[in-house]
Amino acid sequence: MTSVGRRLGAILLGSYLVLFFLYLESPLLIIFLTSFSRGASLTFPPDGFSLHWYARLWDYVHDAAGLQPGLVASAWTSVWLGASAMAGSVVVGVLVAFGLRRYRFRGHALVRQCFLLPILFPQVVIGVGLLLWFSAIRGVPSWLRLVLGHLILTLPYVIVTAGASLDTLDEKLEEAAMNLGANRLQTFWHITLPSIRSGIVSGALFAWLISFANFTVTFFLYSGEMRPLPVWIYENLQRVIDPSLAALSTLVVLLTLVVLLIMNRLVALGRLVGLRG
Amino acid sequence: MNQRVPELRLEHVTKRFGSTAAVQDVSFCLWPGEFLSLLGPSGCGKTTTLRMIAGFVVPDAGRILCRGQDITDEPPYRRDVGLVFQNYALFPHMTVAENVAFGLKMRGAARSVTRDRVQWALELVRMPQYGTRRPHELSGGQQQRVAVARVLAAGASLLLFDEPFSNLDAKLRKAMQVELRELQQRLGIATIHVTHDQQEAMSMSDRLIVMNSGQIEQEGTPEEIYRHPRSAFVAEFMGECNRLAGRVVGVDRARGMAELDLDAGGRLLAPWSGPEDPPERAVAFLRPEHITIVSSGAGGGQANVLAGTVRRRVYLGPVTVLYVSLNDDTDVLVQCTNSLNGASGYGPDARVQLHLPPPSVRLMPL
Amino acid sequence: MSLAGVSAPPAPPRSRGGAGAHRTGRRLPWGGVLFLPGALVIGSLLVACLILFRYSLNAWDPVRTMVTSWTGANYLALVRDPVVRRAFIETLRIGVTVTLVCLVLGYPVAYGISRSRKRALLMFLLVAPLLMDALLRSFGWLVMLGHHGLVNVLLTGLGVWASPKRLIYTPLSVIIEMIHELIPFMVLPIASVLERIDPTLHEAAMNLRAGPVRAFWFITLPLSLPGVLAGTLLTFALAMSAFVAPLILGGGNVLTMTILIQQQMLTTLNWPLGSAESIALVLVVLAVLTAYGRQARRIARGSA
Repeated sequence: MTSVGRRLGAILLGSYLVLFFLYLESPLLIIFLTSFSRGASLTFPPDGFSLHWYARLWDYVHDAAGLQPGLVASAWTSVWLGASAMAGSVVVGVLVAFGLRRYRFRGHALVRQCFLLPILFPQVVIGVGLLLWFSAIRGVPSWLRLVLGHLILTLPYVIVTAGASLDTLDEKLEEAAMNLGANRLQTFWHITLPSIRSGIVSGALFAWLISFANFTVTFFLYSGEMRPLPVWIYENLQRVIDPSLAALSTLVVLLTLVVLLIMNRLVALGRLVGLRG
Repeated sequence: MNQRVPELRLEHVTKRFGSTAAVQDVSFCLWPGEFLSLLGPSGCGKTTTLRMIAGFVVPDAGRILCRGQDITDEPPYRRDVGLVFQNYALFPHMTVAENVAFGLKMRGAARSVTRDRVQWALELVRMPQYGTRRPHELSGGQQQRVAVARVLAAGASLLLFDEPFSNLDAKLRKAMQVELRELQQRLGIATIHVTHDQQEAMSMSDRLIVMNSGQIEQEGTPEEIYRHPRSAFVAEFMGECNRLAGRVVGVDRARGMAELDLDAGGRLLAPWSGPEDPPERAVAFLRPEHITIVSSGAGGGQANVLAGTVRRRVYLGPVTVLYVSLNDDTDVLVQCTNSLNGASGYGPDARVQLHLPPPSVRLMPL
Repeated sequence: MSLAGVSAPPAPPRSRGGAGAHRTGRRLPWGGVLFLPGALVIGSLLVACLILFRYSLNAWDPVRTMVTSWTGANYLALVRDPVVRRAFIETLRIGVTVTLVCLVLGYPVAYGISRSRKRALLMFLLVAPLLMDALLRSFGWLVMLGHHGLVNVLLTGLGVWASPKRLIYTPLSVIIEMIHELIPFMVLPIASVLERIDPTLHEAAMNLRAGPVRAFWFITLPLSLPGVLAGTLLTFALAMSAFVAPLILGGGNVLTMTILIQQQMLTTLNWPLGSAESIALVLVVLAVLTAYGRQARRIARGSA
């Protein structure tokens, strides 16, 4: 093929990539555009530009008419739930990641697989399984159900990010510390933890996002007084869909994006999924 | 000398990884103030030995004693052996001073003591003004100095160097070898140095231990080992060596000499002091610099003089190396010193007579 | 949905003859304490599954709901019940369609990413939507596929369709959403394999007079097949367990296994049958995931 042909191929591939990523981000872009629409119907192209759906959102904060009440409570529940799942999975996950790196034993790969299982496990089954278990033992407060459910979901992500950091940590540094008289605990505290700080922080953000964005497991475990944001949005999708929901979604997307950008700075997302990025 | 207590003593130490023995029945002593090199090719067990001394590997059998005390089962952090890593292993998230202070901090030393000792250690390695730098801002040689200062400040009673110069360029390597050796002698601190570089081992050490496949091949001063290798492995590992195989045709017990009928033609007298007779087949080892060219042209017939043809001539500055082919195409390396009026002017295809002085020949079983 | 660890290699080889292993191997009984909290968390998932399994052996009565018993009736119902069978076939149909479309659309993307100099940016753009609330994505598609949404406006505007069509609350809309949701899981494994192919192989082929197309066909494509297999298995497993898309975009008109489970558990309260369906779903998904895991490990070892 000639160089013209090769350049043509490159242009075709490049255009395809552009189209693909437009398509990939399109639902979020549409939500973004819709949130600025003037009319109440969800048409394309949006009829005019206005910010009044964001103003409407402000009314909902005060539980004015239209949507279901409890927006602020739901948002707080989500933030708080994410923080709890994050704190728990960071502590537990760092220990597991450390143990997996430190000790080699028979069945090591299998144990690791087990810890990572919830990433790919059918979430509906996690949800109904926990639901049936909790209804069998009764008396489990709904916050505990949600935290445990989300802990199961978020733990593997911390193990993966902390583990990725640990893998790049030079074992000799820990040996040097021990050679200088630091015992195992001191070595862990002064050398290992500071060295994988970025991995831990990005794992924590990861955990928070996973919890914040989770709908499926949450859907089976929430209760009236603890209704995280995705459930609140779901309940409103069942009723009237108007652009104020798009305005809310836009805000959620922006928040998520900020967290993602911070994470991406710490550990390139591509590296976590096995690409060199 | 044996009245003294050794700084470190290994007794029949063995370590297996799976079915392979990384270190097998190794015993040696390190005397106070001594600089000892463990020398051998990669995989010979020298690094495992070092890691057992530092406590990162637990031996399967045998004991390790530090000043008479059994430390075999002590964890790494309760041993006073300072390990300088190949890549220095400086903590990247700490300054130079924090790195050097780390060992003292772990011991709970008082702040003022720590400060003084860090200063002392950094001055020893001539880096007192670098305390606030980060490791990545330092050159390789500086990082190495900090690594040394770090173990000295921590109060190590003996030093371990794990291939410490392999990350430095050739020129800096020489300078650091001299500097570290001087520092070691000034402090009189016993040191074990692991390396695969025989030049480095010879230039730095009081004593060498040559290891091969997990076992000690030979132990002695650099000169003893170079001049009197006890095995073919040691002979060839310690530098260029010619090997000439042949059949033993006679032993003169009175003179301590054996006579060899070389496969390449010619006769060779070599010292033989063993209690038994040499085996029927044997190999003679000979350093290139011990061979002299006695005359050009044909001739020969007398013992220890071999005829050959110069095949290649390599000029190396202080010396010239000639590749001389014997009758059966065996190559013999001959090294001649280049004096001012360069006598080693034999070019390719020149016929030469080589003299192999009997005292420099080492005879070993094939 | 989920993402990390998707194609993360199992564990890197230890440096220097497993220094970590022998150093501390014999202290493992104490080291096990590190795993204890994690084991409790993962253990609770296993407990939940065990409870599902136990319930799946119970009987069901419309009035008394669940009746403790030991029966295999629910598993028989999985095969015999026409509703379950329909749901299973629907799930398979959607899963296969989604996986194939993802493969066709995703391969060039993976190829482009692996060749791009802006790989970090593209990776971010690829992965970011995965971490957004699944609900918001479905909401976006609801808007786009609506009667006056982007798709209808575009296609009628271009004259492809005479009048807007009803797209939402159909299997097609579920498929469209799921393709969008799962395509990164197809792209990632393929891209990571493509990325590891030595570019000089392609050059060598061209040097041996293969044009770019034939060099791709005979060299790059065969070498990337392990990634294709991994991506296909992963995408299919995730498609089988998708829930949000059929829930939101199916609008009650698309009955997949997950929707059926939800109905049994929350509406008809037939817990035993719902449990049996859950167990069946888990077994199918785990079987596919095991094949995927084996493939991913083979890729990580570089012997695929």
